Amino acid sequence: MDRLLRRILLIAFGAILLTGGLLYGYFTHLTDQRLALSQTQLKSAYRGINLGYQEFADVVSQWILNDPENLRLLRRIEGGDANARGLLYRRLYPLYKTLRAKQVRQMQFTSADGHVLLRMHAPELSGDDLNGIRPLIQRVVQSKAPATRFEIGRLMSGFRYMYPVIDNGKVIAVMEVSLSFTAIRRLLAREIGKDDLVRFMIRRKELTKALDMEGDGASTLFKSSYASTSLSPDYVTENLDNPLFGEQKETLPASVATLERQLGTIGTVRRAIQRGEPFAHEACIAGGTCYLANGLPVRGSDGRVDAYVLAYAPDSGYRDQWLAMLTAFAIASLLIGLLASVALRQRRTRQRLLALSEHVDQGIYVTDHAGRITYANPSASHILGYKRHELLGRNAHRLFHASAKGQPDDHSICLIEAATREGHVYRSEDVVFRARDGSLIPVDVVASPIIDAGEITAEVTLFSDIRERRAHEQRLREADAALRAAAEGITITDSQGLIKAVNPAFTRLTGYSEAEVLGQNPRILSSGRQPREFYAQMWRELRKNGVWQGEIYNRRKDGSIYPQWLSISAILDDKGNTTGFIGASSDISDMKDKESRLFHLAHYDPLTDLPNRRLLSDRMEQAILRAQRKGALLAVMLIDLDGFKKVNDTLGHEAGDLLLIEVASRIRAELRDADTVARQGGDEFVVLLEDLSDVNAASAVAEKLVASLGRANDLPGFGGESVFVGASIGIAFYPRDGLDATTLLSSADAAMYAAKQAGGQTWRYGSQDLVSEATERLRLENELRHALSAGELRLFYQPKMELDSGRIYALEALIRWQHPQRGLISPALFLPVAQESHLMIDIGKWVLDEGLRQCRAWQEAGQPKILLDVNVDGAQLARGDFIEVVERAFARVGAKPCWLGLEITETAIMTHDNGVLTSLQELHRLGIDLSIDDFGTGHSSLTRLKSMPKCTLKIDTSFVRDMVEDADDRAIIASIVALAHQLGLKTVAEGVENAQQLRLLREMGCDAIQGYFLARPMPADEVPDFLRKQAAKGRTLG
Amino acid sequence: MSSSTNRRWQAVTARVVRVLGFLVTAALLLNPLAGKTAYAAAAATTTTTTATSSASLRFAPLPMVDERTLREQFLPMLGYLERKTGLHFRWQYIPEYQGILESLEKNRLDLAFLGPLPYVELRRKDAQVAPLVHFLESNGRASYECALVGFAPDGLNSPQTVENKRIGLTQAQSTCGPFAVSLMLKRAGRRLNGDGNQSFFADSHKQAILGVLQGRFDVAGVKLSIARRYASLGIHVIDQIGPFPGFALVANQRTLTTAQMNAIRQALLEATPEERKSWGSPMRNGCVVAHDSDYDGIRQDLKRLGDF
Repeated sequence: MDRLLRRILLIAFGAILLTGGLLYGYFTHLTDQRLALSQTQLKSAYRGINLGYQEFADVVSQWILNDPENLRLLRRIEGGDANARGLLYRRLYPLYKTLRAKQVRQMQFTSADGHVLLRMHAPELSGDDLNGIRPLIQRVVQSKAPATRFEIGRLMSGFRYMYPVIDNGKVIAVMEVSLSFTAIRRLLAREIGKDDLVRFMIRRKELTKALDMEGDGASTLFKSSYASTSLSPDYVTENLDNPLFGEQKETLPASVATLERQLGTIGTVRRAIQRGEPFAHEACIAGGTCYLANGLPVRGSDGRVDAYVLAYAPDSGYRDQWLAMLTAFAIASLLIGLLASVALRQRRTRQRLLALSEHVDQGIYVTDHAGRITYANPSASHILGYKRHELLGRNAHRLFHASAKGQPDDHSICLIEAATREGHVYRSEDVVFRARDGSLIPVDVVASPIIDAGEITAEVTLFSDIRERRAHEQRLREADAALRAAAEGITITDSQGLIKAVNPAFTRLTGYSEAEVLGQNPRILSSGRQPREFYAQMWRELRKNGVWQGEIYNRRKDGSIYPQWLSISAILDDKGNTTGFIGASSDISDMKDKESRLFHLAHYDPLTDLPNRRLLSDRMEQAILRAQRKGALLAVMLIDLDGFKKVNDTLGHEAGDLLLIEVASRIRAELRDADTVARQGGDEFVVLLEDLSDVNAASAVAEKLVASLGRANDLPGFGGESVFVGASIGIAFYPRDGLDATTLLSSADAAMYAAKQAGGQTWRYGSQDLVSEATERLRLENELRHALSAGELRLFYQPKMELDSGRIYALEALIRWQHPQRGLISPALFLPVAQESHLMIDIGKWVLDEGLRQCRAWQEAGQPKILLDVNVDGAQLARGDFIEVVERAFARVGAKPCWLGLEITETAIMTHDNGVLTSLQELHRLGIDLSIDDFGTGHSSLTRLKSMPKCTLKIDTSFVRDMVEDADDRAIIASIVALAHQLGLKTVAEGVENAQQLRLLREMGCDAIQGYFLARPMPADEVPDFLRKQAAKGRTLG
Repeated sequence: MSSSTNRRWQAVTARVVRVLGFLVTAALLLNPLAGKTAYAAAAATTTTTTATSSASLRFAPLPMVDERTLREQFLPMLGYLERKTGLHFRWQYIPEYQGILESLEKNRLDLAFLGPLPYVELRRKDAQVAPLVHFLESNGRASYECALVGFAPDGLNSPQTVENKRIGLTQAQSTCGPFAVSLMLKRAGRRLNGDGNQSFFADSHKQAILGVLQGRFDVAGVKLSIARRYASLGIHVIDQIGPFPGFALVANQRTLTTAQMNAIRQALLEATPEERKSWGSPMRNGCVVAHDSDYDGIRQDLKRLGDF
């Protein structure tokens, strides 16, 4: 608790105490007033009664004592006449009876010596001596004058009005009229108020003495007539239950006993009674009744206090005033408390304001009427760069108010001060303050006057450095512009997902205006395509990671559904609580289309629109899984067209393409919708047949396909001539022929190969043997690649001889493979493998190099010049770099073109495009000798033949082989020779194996021959010897 | 039974004992008769007689004075009796003579303090009541006399002259009332309600005498011992009659055992002057054994009087 707080509390406590004291003092004063008043009333009443009865007693006494008969009877009594006592009693009884009605309780006559002559109230008791207890009697006797006093009596205590009975100047008796205290009490009660209770109490000691307590009767009488009182043990009170002298019983309120018990505990009351002094005291008993208790001492004849008159007056005022005082005290305490509370609150408010101003980011300074700074908070100091003590006492306007240009504000009067001194609040965002370092600070200013007691005493100015705010606002403007310019639809929602803002792109994207979607849930865009679980997962991810992005289909206002890429991010406050979400969406319809097209391109053959190899692979995997799951039979068919190459070679690729499209269409037509047909590449197609009942179902399909594909194809734009191709189909089954796609395709490939081997236009089931063959081919291919680099290939040379001269004019280089394990392998065995595996180019180069090198070696060895004929594959010629290959070979070996002859098959020349002819012409131009190999077996075009450079036609073996027996072959050979000669070309017949063939050829005008009849192919090292021998017998052959 | 169960039973038993103890104590404290049986509680520790009874004995005195005075007079004696006999007594105040007699008849009362005439009247109706002791007068006698008094100056000196007189009486059931006055007048050849006489009930002996003094009555029938107190006023005895048995403690034999009656009688007879000192004046002078035969004289007088 700080000092100020303690002080406030102390003052409040003191004020409450003071208020309480004052109120209590006032209350006591009022009570004392009432007590004094009641005591005065009691005294007055008491005195009045006494005086009244004094007069009454005077009259009575005169009336009695003026009667001579009464005096005579008294004298007789004095003289011992018993009857006189009775007669006086009888004479005075009517008066006594009347006096009793007037509250007189005793009337008696006493002799001058103090003995009782007659008690009207107890006539049977007489003759007793009262001297010891009734001193007043003797005083009357002696003074011969009436006297009045309270006296305790043997039978009754009360006020005694005594009169001397004088006979002949001598007091012979004393007459006494007594008013009992019971009577006085009742009279008093009547006088001072009907609700007041009046009591008497008599000193116990004196009463005991008067009653002569040693006597039995007195004791009993005492017990029955008096009762102890709680007020004081020295006094007793009347016993109202058992009143003497025929008094009526009274019921003492129970509250009196309680009240007297309480009064007896009050020190001032006890001490007053002990001292015989009057007392007045306020006392309240249980139940809330309060009394003004008054005690009036009554003195006896000897001046001693023998009794008290007690008066208890109900005092509602006490309680009312007590309540009023308490209420006033409570109100005052409350007010004081409120004041203290207000003071505390003000203090706390001030402390809070101070704390607030000390810690607020805003700069605050207070200036007095002269513009001097009287207070500056830390933020003001921080913003302006001044220490606080540097600001205090300085004029704010002159110190740091600046114009926007950095100069001191040229306004001679500060605008802020001017406004606030007029009692206005000054607000501006265009104020510039100059910091201590000279930098200008744009500030937002609010200045208010401080009014105290109606006077403007100071002004308080709040200002904020708004540089950051302006930068922030700029950033916000930029962000807003970016948002509005964004191509993506932006949606901002609150934490409940209700839309708060959208950008124009959103409107373009969805068709909804911003007004239409504000306050709406984004689900108005829901297309219904995504299941509920999709959204649940989205929200889970958002809650977990704060971000989600993905593809979603939404519905535009016009009902159209579009795909969009949606990114949602949670907007977090400083504490990481989600306050909203921002979603960015873009229409990905185009992208989806492109994607779809790309997928199609990647997975479908562009020519036939059939699934390509990649998609086939996928589908095969899936089909295998399904078959595995169902335990079903799956067939894989590999279809290879027979003779397609020929179509390509003869009609060109466009025709081939059209044919492939037609084939694809026919295959699809023969299959179920669920079946898959794919183009494997070239003229190869693969068909997947799922859920087959047995293998026969596959063969049935194969039969239909063979039949369908064997039909004539009319290729539009190609002269209306029908083209025929066949189909070789290999069929493999899952799981019989393989458990995976690769194995199944290999098996089908092997089967297809078998079908090919069988002449085509048929189908074959796959088997392990076929696979073995395929494996063997593959192994051969691999070994062939190795052989090329390992030098296992060899060249053999078969000579050609001019028929007219018998001269060996050329050697045809024929390749052989010297396999390290298998020995010499025929080119018929490995060349097809080389062609399929595209090794022919490399082999061709090797043959060219090796042949020329050998040719040079022979020439350097002194052999006659001889032409080296090398076979050229069509594929080699089709490559654009063949001439360069040849020239590089010449360069490498150091050979000349005139050394080289090239043999090209008729099919290669006829099926390849004009580029081949151009290459041939270039080769011819270089000086290379050209021959058309296997002439007569292909589809020769005379036009093309005509455009060929000068060459030699090499008549195919198939014509030569049976020419002796077959007239057609002879006719063909004769025609070829005639045609060649007509075109200025030479001919050479190959495969000549006997003399008859030689003779016929010579007869037909053939220019040269080649064959076993002349010489088998021979290694290079045998050539020189052959040439030498042949030169020796050349004439014979020729 | 496990030890934990034993402990639980012990705790429950202790709680029950505590609750019962509390209830008994509360019942004793709250019993409205607790104050009235205070004597019994004291007697329980000082019993010396053989009489035992857990029931309270109901006692009522003659309503001659107010109840408070009666209590002051009789309660000390009842306390003494409780201490001496071990019996319990219960105070009953019955404001009418007749009520006391009816209560005894109907067994709603066990003991009563009665004068001779009321006892005889009661006994005549109910034989199951018996006097235990007679209390002595201040003169030490167990009997008293009644007197017919007059004011000497009035000149009435003989009962024979009581005709056309106003006669003051105490109460109807009082022995010295109509009963004794009738006896005396009958003896003088006069009648209470004849010979031109008029009788008035003054309620008490004192008022009857004062009535004579005040001139309201010509004569009055009062207790002789009381009449003598007024001799100094000219009251003189015209005639007197007696003795009659003194006031007695009368027992209801239907509700009290002989042992109880004996114990009470014996205790009263054994009371020393010191012990009687606090008792009321009617009993303070001691007592003697009473017998029903003590009332035979009254019975004879009543018989002789017939309907007075």
